Amino acid sequence: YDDIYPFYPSQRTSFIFSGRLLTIILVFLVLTVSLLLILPGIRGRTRLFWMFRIITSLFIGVVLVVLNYTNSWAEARMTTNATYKSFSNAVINAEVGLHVGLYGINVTLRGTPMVQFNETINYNEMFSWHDTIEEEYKEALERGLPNPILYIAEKFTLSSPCGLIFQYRYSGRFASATLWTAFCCWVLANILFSMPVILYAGYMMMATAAFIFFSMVSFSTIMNVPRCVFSIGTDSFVTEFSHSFWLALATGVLCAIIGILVVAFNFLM
Amino acid sequence: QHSGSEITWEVPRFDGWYNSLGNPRRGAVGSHLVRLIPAHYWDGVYQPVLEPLQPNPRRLSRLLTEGPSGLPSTRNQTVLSLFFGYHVAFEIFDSRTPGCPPEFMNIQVPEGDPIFDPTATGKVLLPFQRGQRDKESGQSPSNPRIQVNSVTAWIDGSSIYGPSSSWSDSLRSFSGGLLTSGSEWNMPSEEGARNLMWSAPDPSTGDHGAQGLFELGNAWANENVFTAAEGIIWFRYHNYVAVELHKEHPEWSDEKLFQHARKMVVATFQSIALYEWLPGFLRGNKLPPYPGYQKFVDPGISPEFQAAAIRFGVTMAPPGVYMRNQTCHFRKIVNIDGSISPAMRLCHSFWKRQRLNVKTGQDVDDLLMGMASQVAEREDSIVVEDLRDYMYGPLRFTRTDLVAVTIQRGRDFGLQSYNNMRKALDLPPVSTFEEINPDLSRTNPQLLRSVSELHDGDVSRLELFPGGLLESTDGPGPVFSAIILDQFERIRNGDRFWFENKQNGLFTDEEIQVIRSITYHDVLIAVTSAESADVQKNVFFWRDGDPCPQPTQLNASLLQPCTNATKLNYFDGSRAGYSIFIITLLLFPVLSYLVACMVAFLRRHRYRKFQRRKVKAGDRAEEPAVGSTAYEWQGHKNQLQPVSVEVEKRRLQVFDRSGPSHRCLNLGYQDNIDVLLSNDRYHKALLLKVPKEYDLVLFFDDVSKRTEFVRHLRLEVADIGQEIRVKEMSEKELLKEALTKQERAQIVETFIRHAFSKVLEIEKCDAGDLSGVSRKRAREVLQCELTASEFADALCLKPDSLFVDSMFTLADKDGNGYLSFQEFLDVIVIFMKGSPEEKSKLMFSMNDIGGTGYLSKEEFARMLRSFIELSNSALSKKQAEDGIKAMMQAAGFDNKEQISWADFHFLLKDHEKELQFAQLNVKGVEKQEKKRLSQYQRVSFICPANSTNRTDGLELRRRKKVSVKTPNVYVKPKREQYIRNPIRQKVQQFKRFVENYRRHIISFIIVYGITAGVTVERCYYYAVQAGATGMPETSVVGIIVARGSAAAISFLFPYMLLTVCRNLITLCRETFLSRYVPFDAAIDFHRFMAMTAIILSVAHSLGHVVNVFVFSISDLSILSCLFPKVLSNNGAEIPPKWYWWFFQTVPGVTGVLLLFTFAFMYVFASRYFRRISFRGFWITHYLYVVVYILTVIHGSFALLQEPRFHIYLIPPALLFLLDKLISLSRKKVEIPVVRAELLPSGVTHLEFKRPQGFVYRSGQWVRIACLMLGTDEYHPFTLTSAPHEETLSLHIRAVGPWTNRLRELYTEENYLEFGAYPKLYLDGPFGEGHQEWVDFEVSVLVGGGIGVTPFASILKDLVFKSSVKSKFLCKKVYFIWVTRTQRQFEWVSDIIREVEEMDTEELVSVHTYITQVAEKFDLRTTMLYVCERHFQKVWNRSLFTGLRSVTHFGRPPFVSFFSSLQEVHPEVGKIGVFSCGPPGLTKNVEKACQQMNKRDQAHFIHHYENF
Ligand SMILES: Cc1cc2nc3c(=O)[nH]c(=O)nc-3n(C[C@H](O)[C@H](O)[C@H](O)COP(=O)(O)OP(=O)(O)OC[C@H]3O[C@@H](n4cnc5c(N)ncnc54)[C@H](O)[C@@H]3O)c2cc1C
Ligand SMILES: NC(=O)C1=CN([C@@H]2O[C@H](COP(=O)(O)OP(=O)(O)OC[C@H]3O[C@@H](n4cnc5c(N)ncnc54)[C@H](OP(=O)(O)O)[C@@H]3O)[C@@H](O)[C@H]2O)C=CC1
Ligand code: HEM
Ligand code: HEM
Ligand SMILES: [Ca+2]
Ligand SMILES: [Ca+2]
Ligand code: NA
Ligand code: NA
Repeated sequence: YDDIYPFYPSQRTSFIFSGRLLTIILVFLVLTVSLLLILPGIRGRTRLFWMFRIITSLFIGVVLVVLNYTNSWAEARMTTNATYKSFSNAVINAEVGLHVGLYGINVTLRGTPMVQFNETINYNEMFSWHDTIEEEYKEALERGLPNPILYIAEKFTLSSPCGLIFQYRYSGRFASATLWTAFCCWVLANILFSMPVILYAGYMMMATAAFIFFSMVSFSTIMNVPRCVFSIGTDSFVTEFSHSFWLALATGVLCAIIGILVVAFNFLM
Repeated sequence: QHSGSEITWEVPRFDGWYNSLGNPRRGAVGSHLVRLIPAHYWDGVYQPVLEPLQPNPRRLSRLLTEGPSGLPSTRNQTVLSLFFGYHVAFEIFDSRTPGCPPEFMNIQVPEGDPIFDPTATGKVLLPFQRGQRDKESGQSPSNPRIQVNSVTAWIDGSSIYGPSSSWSDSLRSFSGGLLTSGSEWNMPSEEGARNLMWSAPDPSTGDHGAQGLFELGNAWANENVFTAAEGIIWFRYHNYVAVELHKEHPEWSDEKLFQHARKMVVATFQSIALYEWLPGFLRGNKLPPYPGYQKFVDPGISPEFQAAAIRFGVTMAPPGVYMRNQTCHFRKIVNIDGSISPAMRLCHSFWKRQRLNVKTGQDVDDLLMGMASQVAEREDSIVVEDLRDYMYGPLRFTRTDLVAVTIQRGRDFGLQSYNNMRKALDLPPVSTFEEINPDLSRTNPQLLRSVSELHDGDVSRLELFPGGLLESTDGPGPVFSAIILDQFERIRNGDRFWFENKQNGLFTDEEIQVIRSITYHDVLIAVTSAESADVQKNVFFWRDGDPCPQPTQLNASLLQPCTNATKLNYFDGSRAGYSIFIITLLLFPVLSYLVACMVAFLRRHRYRKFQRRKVKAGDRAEEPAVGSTAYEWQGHKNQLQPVSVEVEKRRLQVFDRSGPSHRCLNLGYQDNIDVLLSNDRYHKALLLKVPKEYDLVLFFDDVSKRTEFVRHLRLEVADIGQEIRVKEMSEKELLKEALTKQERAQIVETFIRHAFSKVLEIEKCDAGDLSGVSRKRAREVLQCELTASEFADALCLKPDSLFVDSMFTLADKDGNGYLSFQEFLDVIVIFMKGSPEEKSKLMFSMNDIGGTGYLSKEEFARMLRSFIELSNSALSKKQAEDGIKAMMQAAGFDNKEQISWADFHFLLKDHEKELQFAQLNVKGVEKQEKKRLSQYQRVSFICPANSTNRTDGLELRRRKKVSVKTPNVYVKPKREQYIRNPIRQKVQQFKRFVENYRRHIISFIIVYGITAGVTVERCYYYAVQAGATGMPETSVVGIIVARGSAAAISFLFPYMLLTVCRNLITLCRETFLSRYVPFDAAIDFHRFMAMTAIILSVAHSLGHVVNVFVFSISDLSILSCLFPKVLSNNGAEIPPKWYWWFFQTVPGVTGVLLLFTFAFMYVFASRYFRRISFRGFWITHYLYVVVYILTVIHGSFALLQEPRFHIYLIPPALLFLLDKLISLSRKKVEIPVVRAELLPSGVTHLEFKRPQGFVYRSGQWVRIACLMLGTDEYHPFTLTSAPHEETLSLHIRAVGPWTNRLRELYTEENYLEFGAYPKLYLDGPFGEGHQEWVDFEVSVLVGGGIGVTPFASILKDLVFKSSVKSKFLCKKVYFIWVTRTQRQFEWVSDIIREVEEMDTEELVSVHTYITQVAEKFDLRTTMLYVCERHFQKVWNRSLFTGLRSVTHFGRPPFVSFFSSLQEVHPEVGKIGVFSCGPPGLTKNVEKACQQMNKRDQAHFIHHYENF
């Protein structure tokens, strides 16, 4: 110790990388590794086939779980000059991002450059609308988050005239529910693949695909809300579908293709 | 490219946060009000002080504020000043939105109130809802309830731009820094689609909705046109400034323009409000000079200010408002009824959507100019009737009293009394009412006196608002003035963004000076068409000499009268619709019932068609063999049968087209043949009269064929010297003339009855009455003669059997091929009445073909063969021959060439008794016979003890060993001690019941206990704990019922899945669990749980029917508290209609769909329809998938609470899925059938490969689908193979469509054609209750009809196990096989025989009960007994069944059987009874067991299974 106390840095921002996401990905990685470990026991060309099979299947699985917790179903970002904080007239140049997930939103604020006025401007704030986003917004106000973040979060409160929350909450909730259903279908499909007749596995893969698509449809209803203006400084932005959404689409298509192939294969045999 | 220094000051937030340096929350949206003095609540915490502690607000209001209108303001304050002040109020506070949960403090209207209760009902209430408060406050005395402010307390333009950034965004146009304008550039938008604006309905027209309301920063702007106009001024002013700035700085961005304009507008507003308007309003009471920003000052609105002081303005409100143009022309106002008034009436301008007089921007200008010219009402205690009696209220009661409401608001806010307020303000307290306002006590002493009376002279009770009104002179009195000044001073001094605060960097000194100099006049001139001279400089006062004086001080009588309150029940007009909806819901089951009936009808129809097609298909298969083709008609109801007819050698033969002859007429016996021909309808019909048989009616394809046939017939007949007599008639008559097969059958039946009635002296009437029959028919009956086949039929024998042949030949004395009445009589007389000798003689002569008096060896053998033939083919031909030989040997006939009657009779003599009773068994006679015969011949091995004295009882055969034991086995049961006390009997019964159904009872209690638990938890929650949501107050019963039952449903539906996990159940029943859980009762539990759940679903729905009713009569403000996530309160009041709840919410729609689904599931699952159309049941039952999906969706909306159903669902659903997967993993494996046999009586025997790893126990069943019959239709069948066998086998009886088609598939021809039998899918094995026989020392197995199938396997298994000496408990098994005729299940005989062969231990005792020869002791049977006895000596088996088992006739007498078992096995405490068969049978067994169990001896534990 040397009579010197260590420095305890307190975490300023609530969100860096979702611990949950990390866990999920780790679990699946461990699964993959352990499954791949049995590969050497398989002979010949089937080894390749099995490797392919294991990886594809686990990929789909991890995607289905992860998509629930990602915050990039829809995104909007812009670089703008924005008032930064209260009790100051400082205007910063920053990238403001809105990241919509199924359970809530993440709002990011990253200064360009990161350090301005001797302050590190790098915020990533999570607002979940699971219970009442009203409370979370109030907390955010009390914590005194930077203006752009509050500005965006406020759009998702119940009292906001935008009424975004009404649509987003249900879209997200149903998208997540159907996604979990898709996950169940995926589990079933995997069980069915190990049965004598794999036709049903094919159907189940198609069901998985269908539920992924339902989930996307459900999520995309957020675009039905009358456009709500997000205007910070002189610029404004619009949310657009993002990685997770397209990843869902890709996974859905992958599942559909596998399903169709299996079914077709079954009928041709 | 614009640099960061674009906006150089800190832009204030819209929500007031972070304005105060000391406390960022101060003055923000949602902040508390700030009390000047402590709250005064009745309970010290939150309950208001109401009557009788305080006077009735309405009474006080009338007393205090009634008075004439038309008195002008003493200081000539203008109406514009009044409404500007009103607008300022909106700028700094809004606590009008009702709080949640809703709380009411309705004002009781004194009886006989001239306005509200003219008929003196005494029941009128003025609605009043308590305001928003901080949820944390109001729990305990140190933090009594405190209200919250939903706008910023700062004067920061929240009434112009809205109290939040998104509000402001929604008002902005985002170009040029402007606010969005509507139809005109100088009018705000009226889109209304957004949920910003408070949109209460128009009390006079009921208009509601957001259309036509201005969108402004002040949520309440549309309350009346005048406030809206104030808002419009500021809206215009912002755009005016923005445009000016834009002109000045064309390069500025929208944002910069907007923020600059906003800064300017807010500063101007601040300046005018505090430095121009406020001093005027407060009689020149000025704020102290601006001391600079004071960071510790809280601008919080004080309740005293909000609920009392600032409301002083109500006294200045005029009854109407003038409009004028720039040239002082005061406009006439068009009223809603088309009449004209000089001014716009206040009471008619609330919440107007269609503003008749203020449509355009110019109209607003005119209104503003009018307001500037009009002098407000006097600052006294009088309030105009527009606010006192005709203030807008909710649609439920559209008028209210603003003064009363204000008083009530003070109580809601917990304000202290007037006197306490004075003390707090360092004013001397008053001790009498007169002291309040000495001037007033001079001018109007009466007023003070009556107010005093109302307070019982206690001035300390006088509340703040009335006190403040009373003290007013030319404006707010000292108390109100102090409160108001304090409020505005704090707002100003605490505001970091105050325009005079030089530290905030908003304005330079010069700019501040400029702003200070801007007056409201300047603003008006800037934003209206008025020129500077058109409006006076100080617009808040109208002084003499100012432009455009008002025509006259307005008073109410000049204006259109106010309309009285109207009442609206939100449910009006919904009653009929709602009733129809509920009736429709109730009709769901009826509809489903109708559909089920239709399905049943269609199914029967199609099945009949299928059977007919089957027949036809056979017909078409082959070409007509010989002769001419025609169609035979067999009665109106029957179809035409295609036949071919051949006439040849005296015989006319009718062939089925497929070949076999089905009728043969002998033409030789007749003299002439009558032929009738039709002479109409294409001349196709021909009737051939056949005297003693039914007539042959043929339809030919055309006349030529018919003529050809007749010609041919004539030729043939001519050969034998007969003639044909042809008659012609119409086809109709011809058919009428024809004697059909059915009619003939009736005649024969009557014939036989008559014959018996002669012999048995039965009363004629029983024999069939002839009186109703026509003479002709009666004669026919008497002339009737029986054909050989009719004779055989009467004896229930095959027509081509040897026995019938010999008998018929014997009886047909005249040899005409028919039996006449007399001939028939002669035979039956002997059988019915004759002595044993006579009978044996008859038998003898029957077989003595040559009439030689001796039976040759062949003839005797033939006789025996005929008997054996009668029984069944249990013996192979060789066996039979050997048997006969052996028998003859045994009888000592083997060395005789010929057998005399004496020998023959000797043979029978042992059985004299049987012979004595042996009779011919004739159809239709059983009933009369039974009674008589049964007393001697009740057949049972449990005959009374004395019957053993008789020759071996009536057993057909007894094993030697058994016969040794017999005497001590079948002793007559001793009379047990009979319990006479009925109560003890009941107790005994109950004890036994509990003993038998322990496991059931416990499981039942557990399941229903959990159900009750979850139900009670929710009921308790909603009844007691959910108070904070306001839900229970709204609809207490409905919500408790609905939520409680929903919880039960949430448990029952998911966990019901466990009862149908067939594989898991099969697995579990092998484990120790089966000692605690009655797995075999799973389906019973399933039914129970389903029924309970469905009933609860109905209860739940009814609960919601009540709730929806309550919701649709509740104000929106209440609903928005209950459903904040779905409904938000925008003042619209009108709740969603009932159909919104049912058809536009997720729970509603899915609920209705669920009810619909249940209606179908329920009706089709009823026993009746399940029997009729199993397919229908199964298909509708698969709706369970829909049920689960819908129920998950149903709760997903989280209207009332977060969904739980899926949490309940997940565990059982996983198990169910697992179970399904187990099934699936083997169901889709194709299994080849190795052998298929079509056994008699519609039984198909399938033998198929045993799949790998298929392990089962005897008595288990499987479900199979036949690939050719659809891969997803599975039917359950019991395995009849034993577990140790190589292959699996099933015996399938054809009872319905599927089983019939299956039988068709597995024919020899199909096998040859395809080279293999169709394959199967197999699912199983599944366990049923019959596996437990090993657990009992003594078991009774009862199989009825096809219900023997499980026992086939069990018996085989049992014997196998006993033979390999595996250790098991079982000591004795009684197998009782109940069947209609022994022929019905010949295959069972095979199995029993197999069992008997293996059963060296005498473990199994088999008893066959043949029910359809019930108690009939006929000659045939007698003969068989006789033969059998001899047969037995050699073969040791029954000739009758080919078995060693005991055969009985009639239904088994279970009770006596069981009670004898107790005697036989006295040491055994538990006897297992397993029955399987038709429900009637198992029910009888159950009853017998129950009866036995009432006695306190061995238990009979019954397991049953119905097919
Ligand atoms: C556990 C069990 C074991 C059985 N074992 C045998 C057996 O060994 N031999 C035998 O001949 N019969 C057995 N049955 C009866 C047999 O399943 C039905 O007779 C057969 O399914 C009739 O089908 P169908 O379409 O030809 O007749 P339908 O006319 O459709 O039905 C006739 C009767 O069978 C019932 N039934 C129809 N389909 C089914 C089905 N898929 N599942 C259950 N019941 C149905 C109906 O309720 C109706 O009462 C058994 C039934 C059960 C429940
Ligand atoms: N029960 C019905 O209405 C119909 C049933 N089915 C189907 O047929 C199958 C059963 O037919 P099957 O196997 O031929 O059964 P049966 O109807 O032939 O009955 C079998 C035996 O049980 C006897 N029995 C019936 N009820 C009792 C009773 N209460 N007490 C004592 N003995 C009794 C019968 O005697 P007895 O001859 O004296 O009646 C008969 O000997 C089932 O699949 C059923 O679904 C098909 C059509 C109609
Ligand atoms: C109205 C009362 C009901 C009755 C009388 C009833 C009766 C039955 C019966 C006799 C079976 C067949 C069991 C078998 O052959 O193995 C069955 C199966 C089943 N029932 Fe019900 N049931 C009822 C209601 C319900 C309800 C409301 C649900 C679910 C919401 C349900 C779900 C099921 C399921 C999942 C199966 C198993 C189906 C399968 O094996 O594929 N039942 N029911
Ligand atoms: C028209 C008829 C019905 C109406 C109006 C209705 C309405 C509702 C409502 C409003 C809820 C509360 C949901 C929430 O909190 O979001 C609910 C819950 C529920 N209802 Fe119904 N319901 C109806 C019929 C049914 C039926 C037929 C069933 C039978 C399955 C059912 C089962 C349930 C269950 C299990 C819940 C609890 C859901 C959960 O906790 O996840 N309801 N119902
Ligand atoms: Ca404080
Ligand atoms: Ca007045
Ligand atoms: Na304000
Ligand atoms: Na005849």
